[in-house]
Amino acid sequence: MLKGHLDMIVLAALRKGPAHGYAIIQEIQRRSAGAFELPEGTVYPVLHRLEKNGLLSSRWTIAESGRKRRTYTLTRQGRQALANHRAVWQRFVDAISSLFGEASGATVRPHR
Amino acid sequence: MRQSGPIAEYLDALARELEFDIALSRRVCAEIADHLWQATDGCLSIESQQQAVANFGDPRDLARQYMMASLLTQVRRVGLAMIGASIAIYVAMKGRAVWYALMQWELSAEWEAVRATGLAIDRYGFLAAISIAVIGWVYISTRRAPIRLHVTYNKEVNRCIVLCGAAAGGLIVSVTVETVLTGIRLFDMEWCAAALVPILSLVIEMAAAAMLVLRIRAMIRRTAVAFSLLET
Repeated sequence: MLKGHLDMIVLAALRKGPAHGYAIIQEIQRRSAGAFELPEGTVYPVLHRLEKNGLLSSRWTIAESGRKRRTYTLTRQGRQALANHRAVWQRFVDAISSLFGEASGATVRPHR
Repeated sequence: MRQSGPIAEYLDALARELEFDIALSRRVCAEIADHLWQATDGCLSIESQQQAVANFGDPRDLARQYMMASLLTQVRRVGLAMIGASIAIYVAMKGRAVWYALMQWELSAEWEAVRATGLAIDRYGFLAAISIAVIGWVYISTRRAPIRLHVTYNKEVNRCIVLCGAAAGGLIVSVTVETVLTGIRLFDMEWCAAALVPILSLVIEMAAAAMLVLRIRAMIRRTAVAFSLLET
């Protein structure tokens, strides 16, 4: 189920500003309080695909260690996609919440 | 200096799996090397490297996930080559026509029927190629890399290749007819240095068409390798 929402999760992790792959994974784990335990490699193809689809842009930087590091940023299209994902997700949550609300509030009549 | 150990071995394995796209392989390996060394938290021990690699996942699974976007990039490059080849051939063709007008080179009357037929084939072949190239480019540029492989994506990639192939076919017909007509014209006149201009323009047309055919062939091969990797 989590894999189906990876695009949204990765876009959300980049909401606050540019970040590299490792930092994105750390951010996802931190903000989900460890609930999203993914194989770390899963995130990189998602970043690549989102970039190809125009939702992210990226550039090489040099880390303090001297190694090349790829940093990703949300594009305007990416921000729009994130807002759309968020709206759809909110509708889904509201719908499920009201379903649970109805179920918990309903009186169950015993069979005679 | 080449490092050894679990991380280096993992990166070698990943590079092998990604050999269907060398540029992508270089980029991904550099990016993932940085991740894995960060994951060891500065500890160079074999155990910490093994842990970082284990957390990262299987290189073949990773290569499969990259394949979708890679195929799309390859198809887009072929689409660009198709547009570029069409423009190059058009410019060379028009340049040659202007040169003939400047030099006032006319074909003798005995070749008139051949010229008229050739020009008609050339015109319709080129128009068909340009129309297919434009449709192909619109189709290719509106494709998006899917999250996971499905039959529709396979069909979409094949459709892109067919459109590029059809455009290349039209261009080849056009260039072949142009070659024949230019050959007749050169055969019909006295040799001079000015004849090098139409010959050069023909070479440009042939090179553009050949480049497109080679790109399509490479794309077909890469697609076959990519989809076979998905089947294993």
